[in-house]
Amino acid sequence: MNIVLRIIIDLFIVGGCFFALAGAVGVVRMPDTFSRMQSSTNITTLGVLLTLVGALLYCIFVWKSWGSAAKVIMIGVLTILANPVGGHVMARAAYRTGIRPERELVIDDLADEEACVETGDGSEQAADAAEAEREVEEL
Amino acid sequence: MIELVYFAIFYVLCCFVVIWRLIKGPTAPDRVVAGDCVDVLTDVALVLVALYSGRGIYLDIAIVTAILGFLSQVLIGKYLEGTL
Amino acid sequence: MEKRRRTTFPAFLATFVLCYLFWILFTGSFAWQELLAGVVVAALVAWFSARFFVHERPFGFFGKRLFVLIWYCVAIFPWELLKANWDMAKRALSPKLNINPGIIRVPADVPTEYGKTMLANSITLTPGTITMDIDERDGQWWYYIHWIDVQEFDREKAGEAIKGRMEKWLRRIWQ
Repeated sequence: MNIVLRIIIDLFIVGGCFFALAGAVGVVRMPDTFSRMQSSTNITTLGVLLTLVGALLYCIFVWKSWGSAAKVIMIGVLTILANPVGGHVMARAAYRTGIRPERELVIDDLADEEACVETGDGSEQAADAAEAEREVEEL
Repeated sequence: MIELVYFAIFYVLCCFVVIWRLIKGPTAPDRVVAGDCVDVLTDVALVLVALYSGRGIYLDIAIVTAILGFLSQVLIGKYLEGTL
Repeated sequence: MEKRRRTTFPAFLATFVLCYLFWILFTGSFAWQELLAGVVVAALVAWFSARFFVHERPFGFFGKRLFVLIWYCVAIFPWELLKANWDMAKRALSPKLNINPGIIRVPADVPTEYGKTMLANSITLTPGTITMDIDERDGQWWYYIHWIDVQEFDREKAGEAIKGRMEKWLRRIWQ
């Protein structure tokens, strides 16, 4: 196998390892729940992406198999789409549960404006229940 | 290429670093986020081992692990928020 | 927040085609038993999930918008990703942490629901920021963003610093 190809693949995978280590150390060191979420979702996703680019080059040039290359691309696309959504859901759940960091700079996410989302869900269920009751009465 | 195995072992060591936060974290979202981080890192270690051993079936397991990790994080998040 | 949608037939057809393409990609063989099983499984999955998957007209995406989308995903976005990740990795590994976190509210304006979701995902993928909530007040959509190093307190300038280039490109895609 070519020595240049091997060095390029190793460079991509080492870059991914560096970012994964930075993300893992960040999760341990940060003093605050929300900062730990930042470190875990964002940095780890880039580390995974760089390593998967190296794996893709290996699949195409050494194995010469397009099915495996398509599967590696699919893992990369799934990670890009899924990690931010998971991080956002956990951040919102942590905020609604009442977890606050110790020191705040600009806090604008007051509680009374977001309460409209909860009453929106409740009113939709109440409207469905009323419609079901009306249909039962007509029978 | 023997160094693929070394990189996979390095990813598993990163997992052990994150497990310390899983044990210690004072609140529940801390633990969930650390669990999802462990999922993603073992996923990449699986891909590297699949390349080294020449079997394509480990890639299918990697796809399923990624999907299950994302699904569990979203589900626990919705439950904690109260809108399951 | 939205009204209940019925499963329309074009939406079902578009989801069925996408699921079938994924089936062929994952199994990778063209024997007739596999194709038949693929038709059954893809029809079942598309019947359950077409209501959540398609929000507007299903087949209207081809044309110039596809190329702008591909250019955005391949060339514009990874550069921002790499720059911000390098900055944040340095912050996580340095001996003294210099972070000052805060939650700030920025105005944003992208046309459809897909566009708002894509902007929220792009902001979350850029390190240092996580989108926490999206709300509408007085006809203007506000994004609540948790920022790990707040440099600007004014909302317009903060919006420019966080999402300046991406919003311009996204408005061109989702016209």
